[in-house]
Amino acid sequence: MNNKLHLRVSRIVTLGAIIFALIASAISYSHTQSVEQAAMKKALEQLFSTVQRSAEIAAYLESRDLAWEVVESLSRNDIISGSILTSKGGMTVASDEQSDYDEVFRFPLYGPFTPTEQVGEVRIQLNESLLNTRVQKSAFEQMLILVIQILVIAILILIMVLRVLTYPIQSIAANLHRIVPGDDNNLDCPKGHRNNEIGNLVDDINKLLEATRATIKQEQYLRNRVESLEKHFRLIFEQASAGIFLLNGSFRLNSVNQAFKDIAGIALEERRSGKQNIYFPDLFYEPAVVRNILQEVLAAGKQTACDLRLGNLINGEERWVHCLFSTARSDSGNNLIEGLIVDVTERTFQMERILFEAQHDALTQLFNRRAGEQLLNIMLANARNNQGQLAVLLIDLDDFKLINDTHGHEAGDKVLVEIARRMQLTVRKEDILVRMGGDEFIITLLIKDGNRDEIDQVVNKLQKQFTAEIEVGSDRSVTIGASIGVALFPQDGGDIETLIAHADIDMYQIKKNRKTAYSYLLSTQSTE
Amino acid sequence: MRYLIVVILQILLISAQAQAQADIVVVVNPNSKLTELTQQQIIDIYMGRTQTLADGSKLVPYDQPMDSAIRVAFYQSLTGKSLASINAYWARLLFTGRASPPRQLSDNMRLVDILEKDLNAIGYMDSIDLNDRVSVVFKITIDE
Repeated sequence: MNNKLHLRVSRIVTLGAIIFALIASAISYSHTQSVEQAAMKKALEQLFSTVQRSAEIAAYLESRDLAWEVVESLSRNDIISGSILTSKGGMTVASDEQSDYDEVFRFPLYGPFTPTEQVGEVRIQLNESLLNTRVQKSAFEQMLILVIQILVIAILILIMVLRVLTYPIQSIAANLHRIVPGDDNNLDCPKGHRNNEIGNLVDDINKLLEATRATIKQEQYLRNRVESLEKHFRLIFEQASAGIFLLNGSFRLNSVNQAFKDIAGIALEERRSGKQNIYFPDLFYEPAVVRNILQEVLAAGKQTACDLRLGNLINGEERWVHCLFSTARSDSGNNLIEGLIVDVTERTFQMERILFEAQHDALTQLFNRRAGEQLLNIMLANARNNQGQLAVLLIDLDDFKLINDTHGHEAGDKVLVEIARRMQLTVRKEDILVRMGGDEFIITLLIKDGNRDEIDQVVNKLQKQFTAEIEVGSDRSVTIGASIGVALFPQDGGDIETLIAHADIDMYQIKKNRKTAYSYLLSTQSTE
Repeated sequence: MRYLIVVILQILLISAQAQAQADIVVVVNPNSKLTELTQQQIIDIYMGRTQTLADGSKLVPYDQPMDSAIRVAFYQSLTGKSLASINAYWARLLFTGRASPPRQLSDNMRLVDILEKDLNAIGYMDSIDLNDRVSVVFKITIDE
C-alpha cells in the first residue's frame, strides 16, 4: 500500500497544476509583453504629441535651441532612453552621442503652416530595460496570482477527492480486505454515498460476495458428496471379498485391491522380484490359456467368465479362482481389461467331491451303477457312431456271501475293496469299471473286430488277480473266485439291458459249469 | 453697452466692405531685386524661416498694426490660421533667438515711406491703396 490513492491523486493534481501554471505563465508573459509594449507605444505617442508642435517649429525654423528643448524634454521621461530631431535642412539635434537606435519610433514633422511639407523627423528610442523590467514585473505578478489560484484550486480538488472518493474507497477496501470468502459478512456503504457510483460499487461487491458465497457452499456440498462417494467406492474396492484388478493392453497389472493380493498373494510375491508390472497370465498354471482368453476378451469386447488354476505355489497347494473379465476404456482411450477373481478352490474341491461321491461307490471308489450306466450309454453311442465293438464283462464273485458269513461284513468289505483295486490295475484307462451292486461288477472294453482272444486275455488276467490271497484280518486271509460273463456289442445286443442280460446268462452258464471246477480248485488249494 | 455693440457692428461692417472690395498685395521697393514671390516664400519670410535673400541681404518684413482687419485677413488667407495662433507661434519662439517676428507698423507710420527708404523691406497692404512708389510681388485674392 505504498502507492496510496490520495498521494497519487495529489501528485497528479500538483504536477498538472505546475505544468498548467508554467504554460499559463509563458502565455501570460508573452501577452503581457505585447500589452506593455503597446501601452508604452501609446504613452510614447502621447508624449510626442505634447512636444509635436515645438518639434515641428524647430524643424521648420531649423532652430537648434528649440530642437534641443524638444529632445531634452523628451529624454526627461524614463520610458525614453534617447531621441533625435532632424530637419530637412540638415540640422540634427540628439539627446546624447548615440545616434543609431535599434528600437526606434519615427514621427514625421510637418510644417506648422504648410501641413503638406515634411520639414523633419523625430526618432525616439524606447527604454528597453525599463520595458523589460515592467514586463517582467507585470508578468511575475500575473504568474503569482495564477499560481496561487491554481494551488488553491488544486488543494480544493485534493480535499474533495479525498473526502468524496478516496476515504470511502479506502474504507470499502479495508472492509473488503477483512472479508473472508464464504463467510456471511457484507460490506457497509459509506455514509452519503448510497445513491452514487460508490453505493453501486458496494452493492455490486455485495452481490458478488453473495454469489461467491453460494458458489462456495455449492462447491463444499458437492465436494463432500464426492468425498463420501469416493470413500464408499474405495471401501467397496478395498473391502471387497472378490479380488479386483485392472490390466493394461499388454496384460500387465495396473492396480489391484487387497482381496486380489490376498487371493493371488503368494503368487504375486513370487513374481514380484524385480518386475514393476506383473504379467497377469504368469500368475496362472497355464499362462498360454489365460493369454488366449485375455486376447479374446480384448478382441470381442465382451464379458468372459471362467475358472482358472493359479500357478504353482511354494507350498504346492492347488488353488482355483473364478475370473470375470471385461473390457474397459481408460480416460486416454486405451483399451483395458478389468476383472474380478474369486477364490473357488474350496468350492472346486467340494464340487469334485460331490460329483465323485455321486458317481462312485463309497466303498470301492469305483463308478456306481447309475454313473456306470450313463458312461456305458456314452460308450455305446460312440461305438455306434464309429462302428466300434465293445465287450461287456459281467463279474460276479463266487461265494462272497460265505465270506461275509464266515469272517464278518468288515472282512467282506475288505475283500471288495481289494478286488476293486486289483481289477483297476488290470483294466486300461479307457475301459470302464463299474460296481453294479453287492459283489457284481461290469467292465466295458473297447475291442477290435470281435476278436475272442482279446477278451479271453482280459478274462484270464482278471481271473489271475482273483486267485491271489486277500488279507481280511490279523493273520487271516481268503481267496475268492469270480464268474465272468461276456456280451459283445453289437453281436449280442444294441442296448445296455440286452447286453447285461446276455452277459448274465453267459455268467450263470459259466458259474454252473465252474461249480465243480471251483470246488476242485478249493480242494486242491487246501491240500497244498 | 449699447455703444460697444454699435462700435463692433461698425468694425464688422468696415471689414466686410474692405474684404468685399479689395485684395491684399505684398509689396516691396520698386528698386528691390525681388520681383515675384510664391505664397510659400511669403509664409517662410513672415514666419521667420527665411531671413536673408540668396545674395545675403537681410529681409525685413513689416506687419500691419495689431488687430487691424487687414492683418487678420492677411494671415488667415496666407496660412489658414487665426492671428491668435500666429501670436502663440511667436510667443513660443520668444526666447530662442533664432527668429523674430516681423516689425509692426504703428498707426502713424506709413508702409510706403518705409519701403521707399529700405530696399530690403517687405510689407502688405490693401490693393486699393496701391501707388507707383511700391511694386507688387504677390497678390492675395480675398474672395469671401
